[in-house]
Amino acid sequence: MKSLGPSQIERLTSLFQLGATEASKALSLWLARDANVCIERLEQLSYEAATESLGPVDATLCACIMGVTGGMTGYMMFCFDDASGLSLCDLLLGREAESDNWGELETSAATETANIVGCAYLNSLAKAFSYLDGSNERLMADSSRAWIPTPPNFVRDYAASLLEFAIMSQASEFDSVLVATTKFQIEDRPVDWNLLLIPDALSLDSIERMLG
Amino acid sequence: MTKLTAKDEETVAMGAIGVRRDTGQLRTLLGSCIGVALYERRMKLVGLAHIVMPNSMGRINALGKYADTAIPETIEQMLKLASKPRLDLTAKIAGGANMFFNVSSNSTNTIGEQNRLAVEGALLALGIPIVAKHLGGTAGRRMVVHATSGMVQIQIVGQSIVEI
Repeated sequence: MKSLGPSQIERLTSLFQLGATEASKALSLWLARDANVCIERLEQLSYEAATESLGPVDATLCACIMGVTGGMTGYMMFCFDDASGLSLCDLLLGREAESDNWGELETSAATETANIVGCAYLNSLAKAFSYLDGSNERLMADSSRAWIPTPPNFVRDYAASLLEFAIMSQASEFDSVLVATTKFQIEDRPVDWNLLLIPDALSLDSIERMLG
Repeated sequence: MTKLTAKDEETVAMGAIGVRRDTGQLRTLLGSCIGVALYERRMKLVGLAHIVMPNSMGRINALGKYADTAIPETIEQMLKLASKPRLDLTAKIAGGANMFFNVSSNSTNTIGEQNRLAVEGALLALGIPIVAKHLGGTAGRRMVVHATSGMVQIQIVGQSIVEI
């Protein structure tokens, strides 16, 4: 993939923002309170910058990771530190006291949140991209065109190790990687959850073609 | 224990190479990539390559990224630092995890294994013995290489440091 120009990045950001809007609605319904998911940035980064996009490379982070198959292939990752992840779980589980470790219940709450928000985000993105490439929603019912996530997998690891694996497919073909970073806000409070969508090399080629 | 300064520690980024002599540490963070630490005992000289992919397919940019180019390039940089025509090297390797084993949707789920095979093949071809390995699994690793001793420390989140 060549470097995308500013107008291509802008167009792509608008499409991703449509996905974020649907993700906001899903998160609000799931938490039963106002929630906002918005695209913070969409960038083409060097490997080094990509592995630093979540903060210090050797920080321990949690992530709910979903593979994406069908019309777009790659990875979607919800990344957060322990405090931010557990605080969202407390909110969801209606707890007053702050949890301080990851048990089965907390892990399940985090992965379910990722599943609900991730599916809404992907469905909306798939629809937006179907207009861009001249197909339509009827074709989206075809599983080869729909964007289908795998069930989320919860992991706790070094930030750089998590990113490294997710960007591997792009790294095999290109010297830079495309990373969409999304921020969460719940009732006007920023929540330190990041959503990263990392298309693989094949999908990047398609995206570049569609943008013209 | 001697306190290390930032000058004594060098982080080797994804697809990069680091070399040091006499003192200090080289460190890197690995997922499915492989860290190759080369050590020359008499000269207290170390090199660390963070290898991303098995084969360069003839590409000549980003030499540190591929197993077939990163290992010769690390040796080249070590030779320059030592100002010697030849080095007596041993290798320690780590990484090659399959971290997202149940969500992988494509060939990346075997990339760690492909990297391992390529690194082992390249070292064998160059006659460099592998004296220690810490490979595979489903977790990332922090790899730290000490120039003085050639000792390699591996840490996985939530586990104690292992020396290899």
